Amino acid sequence: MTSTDPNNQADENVLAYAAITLCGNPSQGPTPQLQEIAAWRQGTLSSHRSTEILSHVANDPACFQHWLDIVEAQRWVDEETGSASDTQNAAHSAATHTNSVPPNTPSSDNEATSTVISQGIQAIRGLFQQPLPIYGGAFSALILAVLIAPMLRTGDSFTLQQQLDRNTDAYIARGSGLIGTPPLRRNTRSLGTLFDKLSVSDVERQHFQNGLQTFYQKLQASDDTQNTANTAWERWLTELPVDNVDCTIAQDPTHCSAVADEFVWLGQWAFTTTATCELVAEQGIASLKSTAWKEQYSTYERLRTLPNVAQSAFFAPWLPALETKTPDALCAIAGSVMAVGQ
Amino acid sequence: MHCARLPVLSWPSANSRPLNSENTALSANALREERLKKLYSDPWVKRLRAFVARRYHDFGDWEGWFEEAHQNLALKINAMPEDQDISDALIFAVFKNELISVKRNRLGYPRPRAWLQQFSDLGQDLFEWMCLQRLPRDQIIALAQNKAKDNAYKKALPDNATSAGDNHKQLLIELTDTMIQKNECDGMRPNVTTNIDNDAVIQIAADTPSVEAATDHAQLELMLSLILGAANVTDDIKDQAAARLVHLKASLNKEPLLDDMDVLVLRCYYFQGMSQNEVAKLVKQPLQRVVRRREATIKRIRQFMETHGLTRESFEL
Repeated sequence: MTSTDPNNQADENVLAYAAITLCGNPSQGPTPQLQEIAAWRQGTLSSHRSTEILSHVANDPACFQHWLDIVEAQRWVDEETGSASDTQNAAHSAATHTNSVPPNTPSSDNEATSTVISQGIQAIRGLFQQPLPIYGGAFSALILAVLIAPMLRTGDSFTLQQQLDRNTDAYIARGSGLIGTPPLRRNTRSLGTLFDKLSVSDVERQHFQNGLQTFYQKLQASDDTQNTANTAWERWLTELPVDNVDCTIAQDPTHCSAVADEFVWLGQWAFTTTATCELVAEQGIASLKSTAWKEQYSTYERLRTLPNVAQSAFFAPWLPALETKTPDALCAIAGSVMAVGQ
Repeated sequence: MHCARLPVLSWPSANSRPLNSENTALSANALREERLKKLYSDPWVKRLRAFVARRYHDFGDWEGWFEEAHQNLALKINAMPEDQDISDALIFAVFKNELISVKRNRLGYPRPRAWLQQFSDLGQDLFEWMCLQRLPRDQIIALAQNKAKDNAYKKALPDNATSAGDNHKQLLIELTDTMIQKNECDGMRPNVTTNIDNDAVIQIAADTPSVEAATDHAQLELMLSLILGAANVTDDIKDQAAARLVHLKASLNKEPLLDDMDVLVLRCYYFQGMSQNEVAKLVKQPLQRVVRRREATIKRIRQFMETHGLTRESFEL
């Protein structure tokens, strides 16, 4: 490797080496012991000493290795003993159907967990027709998120949000992360932006992109080390808007507020389904049982017939009725919608 | 592999029991005795053995080393102050270090040069595989990739490797090529070991540097090898680079180029082959911030190197 071509990954390795060895900073304060690095990681040290230890961990390869050793050891312990907080978080999330990372508070849903975990495992295994990796507490938590809340709410039919969250959680439970590459980004031009106002289409697209973020945030919040995005996806994701649409700058603020939920759902559905389709394409069509596909078709039908979605000049043309309910047809629609809306 | 759920075994510490001036000494001894009993209890011995068997099954005679490492662990824990907060994770981390120390002390392993030590355990592993076990280059790269996959803080990379995996493989190729070019295996450097019997036993300090000091010029020479190819690093080139290094250091003294978190992110991403998502989780920052930080840092260092004439184009080859 001798090139300094900026696009060359090897070039970045050299730059990183130069940065660390020539341009790094001297370590400050006394060299920390292993237990002090552990305390630093837990955030129990003073601000001043934390700064000093960061300088050691960053600039001293031995301290850096100690830090990695503690991280690895903690993961080992979590694997052994399971993680109670994951169980509580996931159950709380299922019960409240929020998209944000839930607080670590006990939930009454947890009290019914032990009797249905084995049923949940069998149900999920049956859904995907293959053995699932066991991640201890995190896996159990996902089982709860997918199954427990509905079981505790017997008699209620699923809302569209619940259905979307079930699909998303089922995907996350597979622990595959994001595979493949993101769709090519289309640059569309809106006249509305020329007047500093968001057009109707702009609003719908941005809500849709918030929905894409919703899926990714849930993936990130799953705390499963296998659910990580590769670099191409990470770059794509950083370009998505993080904040909600500011309806005060929309040409039609009332419309902007009224349609928010529907297009966020559409975005979440598009990303979940596209990711599922990528995974199925890699693992084979039989990896997803027919009952799971039926649920996917049902979700799609509910979405495309939402009043604002059905009337959307921007999205409706990409959401035809499924005349033949096949995975390929559904995947093609999800991929097209995602490419258009991103 | 499914691990049975084990009860969380909390460690006794002075913080968890009241101490008064009358029975402080007695309580401290009792505390230490409790800790030792716990370490030698069946559940803990099983846990430690499971840890070694799973994580370090390629350690060769790890069964033989286990006893000594376990004893050293007990000594270290026994020497910790009463108010030290001891978690299970700390025990495993200390034990891992003791196991490696036993292995190195027992077999008299020398240490790699300072430039390779920059890569922490990866550098040590590469040195052992190439210089001590005399494995071929391709096998070394495969071993390193497999070990990276087994690390708990990394996800398993699919066969069609992600960009993070590709970058890591590229790094491994560069490192092994550089080791060969620099005759890394020629001669052996003295082994600097920690004496577990001395008073410093409670100091689980970072390893001391090797006898070959990690000077700026040594690092610069390696970097020139990476940029220009070892064959092109003539004395004239070295002199040119050394002069430019003086100006570079002067600039850095006026205004540091990187902060510690920048360096940490780079070390995790480029030296350990982690994905940005993994790095974000480790340093507990949002992914977007980590991505932007990494990209901005690389851009900054690139401009800095160009400004100070430390790129391929700026040398007269």
